[in-house]
Amino acid sequence: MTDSEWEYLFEDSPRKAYEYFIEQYGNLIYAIVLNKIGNCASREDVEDCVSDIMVEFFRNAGRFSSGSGSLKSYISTIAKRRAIDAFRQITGRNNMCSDIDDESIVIPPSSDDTEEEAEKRIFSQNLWNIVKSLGEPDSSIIVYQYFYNHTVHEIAKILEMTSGAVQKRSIRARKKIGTILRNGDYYE
Amino acid sequence: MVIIMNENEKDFMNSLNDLDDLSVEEIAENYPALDEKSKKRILKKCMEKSGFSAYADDDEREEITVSGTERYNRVSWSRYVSSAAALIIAVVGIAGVVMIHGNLNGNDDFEIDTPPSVSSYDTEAESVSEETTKTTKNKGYIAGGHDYANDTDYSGIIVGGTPQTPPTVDESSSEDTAENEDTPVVNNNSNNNTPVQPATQAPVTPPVTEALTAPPVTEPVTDAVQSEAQKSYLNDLYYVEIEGVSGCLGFNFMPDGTLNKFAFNDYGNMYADTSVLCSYEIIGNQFSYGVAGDELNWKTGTIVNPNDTGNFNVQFEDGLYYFNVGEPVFTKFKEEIVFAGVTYYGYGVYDERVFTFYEDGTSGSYITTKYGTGMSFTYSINGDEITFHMGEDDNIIKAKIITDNLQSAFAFQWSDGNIEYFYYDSFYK
Repeated sequence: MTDSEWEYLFEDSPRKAYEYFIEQYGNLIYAIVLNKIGNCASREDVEDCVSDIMVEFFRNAGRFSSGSGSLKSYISTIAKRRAIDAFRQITGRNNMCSDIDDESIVIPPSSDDTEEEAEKRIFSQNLWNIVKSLGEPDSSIIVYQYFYNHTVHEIAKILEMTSGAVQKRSIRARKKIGTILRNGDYYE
Repeated sequence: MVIIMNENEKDFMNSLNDLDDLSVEEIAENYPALDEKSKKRILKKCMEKSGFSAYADDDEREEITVSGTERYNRVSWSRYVSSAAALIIAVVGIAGVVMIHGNLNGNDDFEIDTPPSVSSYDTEAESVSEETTKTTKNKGYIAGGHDYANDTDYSGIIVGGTPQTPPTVDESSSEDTAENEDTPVVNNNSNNNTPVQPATQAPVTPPVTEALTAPPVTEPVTDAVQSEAQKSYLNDLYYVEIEGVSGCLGFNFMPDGTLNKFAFNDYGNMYADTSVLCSYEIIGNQFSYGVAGDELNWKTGTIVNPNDTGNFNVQFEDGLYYFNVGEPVFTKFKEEIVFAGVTYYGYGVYDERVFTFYEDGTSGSYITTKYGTGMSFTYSINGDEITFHMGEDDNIIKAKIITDNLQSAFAFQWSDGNIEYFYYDSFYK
């Protein structure tokens, strides 16, 4: 579906347009926002930002040119930009993010800290590769626990496991991650 | 490449929140996070921010219409009232005209060359006056094959009284149509030369019949068949202690209406092989559960003293079951902790550590899962106190063994006051 078609759908029925849009791109936008502000924002803040992105998309529907890339990339760009705005608002509102490296999250690294930034990126990427290599359900547990910040009980519901099993698998998975990192087996 | 490990595990796991775009897409695709409730919350926010009511569309709009707005109700009944009133007025008026003509001229063979003046009334009486007019000899003047429904202004023609002109009734019916777009015009039949029969006209039916009969689609079917009592227990994990029995059961009420039952041992650890998928019913204060399809072997008990905390008890034949949402109390295993030959995972204020107690009952070792560092030790237990002799330096460290009110198997309260909780590891072996 092109952005023009989304626009027509929105004119016909805003509610249906939003419903379809959430169904198709909701998880992607949510993940992008969480990746940017998950360490400092509440779940309500994240959902607020996600809704802002969707509203902005429909306000600007029709302006997107298919020659400039895929619609998914366009939406991702809006999402990242909006997430950065949200991050600034949230950090301005409180100091929840004072203990994290703000610049590394929202602003491209300057030449001075490029090396450090690159190391962090590589570490994150390697960590993600290790998490994927854990296999299920351990990968899911770690992703929901540390990327989405879900509680053990919420994860148990999603994966239809008991809270105790989730907790123990999480412990075991983290132990395995620690071992792999320690042994340096994560280099690709 | 040197990877700098952060001070604690939580921090380095937080690095998962700084991934590249492709990884984020991968996560979004393979690990979707938005459940139905989240989607609804976001949808509501979107609608509000777009300037719409959160419910102003589609199904909700139809539901609002179903509840009965004046737009439909007013038209459907007021037309009959106004038609009846117009009919009375027209009949009385025409009868009066006829009587006056009869009295003045003494001629019974009169004709009316022009439509009666009453036809210019700008009310629904026109439809009735048309009917009345058609009962006269002049009905040919107002009848005809021409479709007058869309003609708008014939007043001048009618005033002139020219034959073969449409009557004012069509003017009024045109206006009527314009004013009530959703309502069929009562006097359309005039074009067919048939008497208007207001009494037989079907009332205007609002176009909402489907909405009235359409079932709601927002709730899953499972909710529809579950009682309110069942709903209240959904999505909760209960630790079920049984009077006079050590350990406890776990009752996990799943969102799909099933019940996952399993058992904990005396150490507070779950036995994986005890997990049984059950169904359950709550009718009144009767709680029944068992394997679906084997209802004869279901257990049924009476719910007693439920309270605001969500906890409740069920009196079964084999005893009183205490359903607790919170952490269970394993009061039995204090004297039964087995260290020898067992590995425990510990967590708390320290980095996660794995303690392995050797079979000899006096020695063991621990290792941190994060750094892989650790040391061997010997230990001795005196009551609820355990004394470790750590490493080659023989550092003596004491801890109090805590067993009550814990979800873990036990905990050590170290001499510095910090508490480290331990899980039994046999679950993974």
